[in-house]
Amino acid sequence: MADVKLSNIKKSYGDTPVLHGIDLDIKHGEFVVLVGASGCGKSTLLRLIAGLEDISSGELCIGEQQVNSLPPSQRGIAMVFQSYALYPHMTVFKNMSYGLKIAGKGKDFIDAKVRDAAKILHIDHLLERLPRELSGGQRQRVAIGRAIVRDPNVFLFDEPLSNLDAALRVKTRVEIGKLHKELGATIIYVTHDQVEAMTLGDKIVVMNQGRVEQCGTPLELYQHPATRFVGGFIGSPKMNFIEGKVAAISPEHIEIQLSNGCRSRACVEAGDLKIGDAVTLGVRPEHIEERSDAGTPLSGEVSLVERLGEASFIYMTLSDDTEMVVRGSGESTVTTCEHIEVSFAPHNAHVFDSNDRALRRLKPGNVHSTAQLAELKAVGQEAL
Amino acid sequence: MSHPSSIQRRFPWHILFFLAPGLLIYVTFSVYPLLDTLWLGLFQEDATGQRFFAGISNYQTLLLDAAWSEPFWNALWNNTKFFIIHMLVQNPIGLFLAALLSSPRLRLSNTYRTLIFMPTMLSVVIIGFVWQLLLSPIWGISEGFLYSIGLGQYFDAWLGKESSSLITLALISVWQFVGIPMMLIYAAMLSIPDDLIDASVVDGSNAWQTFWNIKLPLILPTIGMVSILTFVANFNAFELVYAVKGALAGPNFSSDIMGTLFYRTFFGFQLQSGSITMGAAVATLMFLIILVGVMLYLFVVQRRMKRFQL
Repeated sequence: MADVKLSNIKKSYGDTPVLHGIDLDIKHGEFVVLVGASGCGKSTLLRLIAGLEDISSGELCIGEQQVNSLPPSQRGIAMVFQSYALYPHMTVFKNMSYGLKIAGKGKDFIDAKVRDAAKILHIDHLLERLPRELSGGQRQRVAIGRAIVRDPNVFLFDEPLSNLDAALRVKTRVEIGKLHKELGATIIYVTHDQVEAMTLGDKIVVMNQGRVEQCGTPLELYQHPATRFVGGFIGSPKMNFIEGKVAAISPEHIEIQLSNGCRSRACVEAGDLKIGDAVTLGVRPEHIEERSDAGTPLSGEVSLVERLGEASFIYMTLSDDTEMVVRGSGESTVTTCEHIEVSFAPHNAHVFDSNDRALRRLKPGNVHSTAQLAELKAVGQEAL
Repeated sequence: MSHPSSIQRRFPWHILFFLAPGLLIYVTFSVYPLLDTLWLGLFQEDATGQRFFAGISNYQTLLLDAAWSEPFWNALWNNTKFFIIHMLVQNPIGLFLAALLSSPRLRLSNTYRTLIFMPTMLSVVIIGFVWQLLLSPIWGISEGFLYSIGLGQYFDAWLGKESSSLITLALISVWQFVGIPMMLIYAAMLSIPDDLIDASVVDGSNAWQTFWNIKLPLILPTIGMVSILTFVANFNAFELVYAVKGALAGPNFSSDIMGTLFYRTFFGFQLQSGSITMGAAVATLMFLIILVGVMLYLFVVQRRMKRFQL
C-alpha cells in the first residue's frame, strides 16, 4: 500500500516562492493528474515528490514513511520524463535494466523483469536497439518500461505525451489508461493538457501560481468549478465569461444585470451576495443554444465560424465587445458578420463573485452524468 | 542554337573562382612547403654546398648510424614520455576540473574557469622563464615555500637533473595547457541534458555512478579528440624546452625532444653545423610519426566510438 500524502509542502528558490503550501492526499492505486498552465509549479511539485529537488518546508509521506530526506531511489518511485531521458549510449535492454543493475540485482532476475515489461509494452523485439533507432512512440514505451521494471509503488509522469504527434498522443493516452488498470499502481501525472487530465485522471488537481486551485474528479471539476480559473481551464473551448451585477436574489436563483444590457437568471445560492455586487457569469460554449428561447437570450455579431463536421464553433461579439464562443450544430448555417441570437438555460450558468470564487450551483449542470462524460470526451477529441 | 545539355557541360568556372583564394593560400603555405621538405630530405650537400640527390641515405644515417640514431631515438623516447605524462596528468586533471565546474553547486565557477584557463593564453617563453625562476635552487621561491609547509627536504634542483628535468618540463606544460582539455570537456558536459542526469538519479545511481555510467560515455568522443590534439601538440612541441633548457636540451640531452633535435640538426648549434637536408629528413620523420598517430586514431579509435545524439 502506498498512499502519498503531502502536507503543507512549500518550495522556494532563494527568495522566490514557487509552491505556497500544497496539501494533497493520494490513495493507493489512484490516477492523479496535476494540471495547470506552464509555470504553475506542477512540474516542480512532481520533482519534489520524486526527490530531485529539496522540499523547503512541509511533509511528504509515501506509504507510512516520511520521505523528505530520502534519495529518489529509496522512495519507491519511478519517473517518466517529458524528453524520455533515455541513455543514448545504451541499448533498450540496458536502459531498462540500468536501475536494477545499480540496485545490485542478479542477472537472471534483471533479464526476467526486463523481458516481462517489454512484453507488456510490446517492445520485446527492440531490446537490442539504441534509442536513436527508435521512433518517438517506441522511445516513450521504453521510458515507461524503464519505470515498470523497478516495481515502484508510485509512477510519476512528467508531460509524457507532449513530444508525440496528435494521433500517437491519443493512442498512447489510451494505453497509459489501460496500463494503470493492469498495474494497479499509484500514478501522479503532470500535464498542461486538460483533455489528458479529464480522460486519464481519477482525480484532477488544478494548479495555478503555486497553489492548488481545486481538486476533484473530472466531472466535479467540469460541473462545479470552484473558481473562475478552473472554470476557464477545464473544458474546450473555454467557458465564456460575462461581467455583470447582482440585480435580484431569490432562493432558487439570482438575477444578474449583464454588461451587454441583458438580464439573466442563474440557479445558484446567493450566499453573502448583496444586490449590486459585481459578479461574473460563466457559461460553457456547449450549453449555449442557437435559438433565442432556451433561457437568457444573447445577441451579437459572428466574427468567425470553425466547422468541425459534427459541430461548429461560432465566435461572436456581444454589443459590449465581450467575446463569446458557442458550440453550434454541425449543420449550422451561420456565416461571418451575421447577427445571431443565442440563449442558455439558467441551470447551466456558473456565477463567480468578485474574488473569482464560484457560488454553489443549485442543480447539477446536466441530467445524466454518463451522457455528460460522453459529450465531454467528444469535445476533447475535437480539441486534438 | 543553345541546347540545355551544352549549358550543363560548360566548365564550372564559378566553382574554381570561389575555391581559388583558399586553395592558393593552402597550397602556398601548407602543401608546397610539406612536399618540398619531403623532397629535400632525399638530397645531400657536399663540402662546397652543392646539392645532389642521395635517395634514402639521410634516413639510413639517421636511423642506423650511431652518431645520429642515438640522439634520434633518445628524442623520440623522451617525446613519448612527454606525451604519456600529458595523457596521464593533463587530461585526467582537465576532466576532473570540468566535472567540478559543471557541478551546479559550485559557486564562482566562471572565475575558476577563467583563472585556470589564464596560463594557456600566456606565451610559452614567459611560462618557461617564470618557472625557471620559481624552481631555481639559487633564488627560486619554491625551496622556501616547501620549507614553510614542512616539505623542505623534498626540494631538489628538478630542472637541473637528468632524472627529473623532462618530467618537470612536462608538468610545467601540463600546468599551462590544462585549461584546453578542461574547456572542451566542460562544454561537452554542459551539452548533456539535465533530464538524463535526473533519470540516472531516480534509477538510484550516486554521483560517481552517474559520472562513470552516464556522463563519461557521452563525453568519450571529446576525450578522444582531446587526446589526439595533445598528441599532435606534444610531438610538435619545442618552445618550452628551448626556453628553459636551450637548444641542447640538457642536462646531457635528457630533455631533448623531436622539436629540439630538429632545431639543432637544421640550424646547427655550437659545435654541430646545420644541415638543411638532414633537417628536412628529421622534419619528415616527425611528420610521419604524427601522421601515423592521427591515422591510428581516425581509423581505429574513432570508428569504434559512436557519437550519440543527445
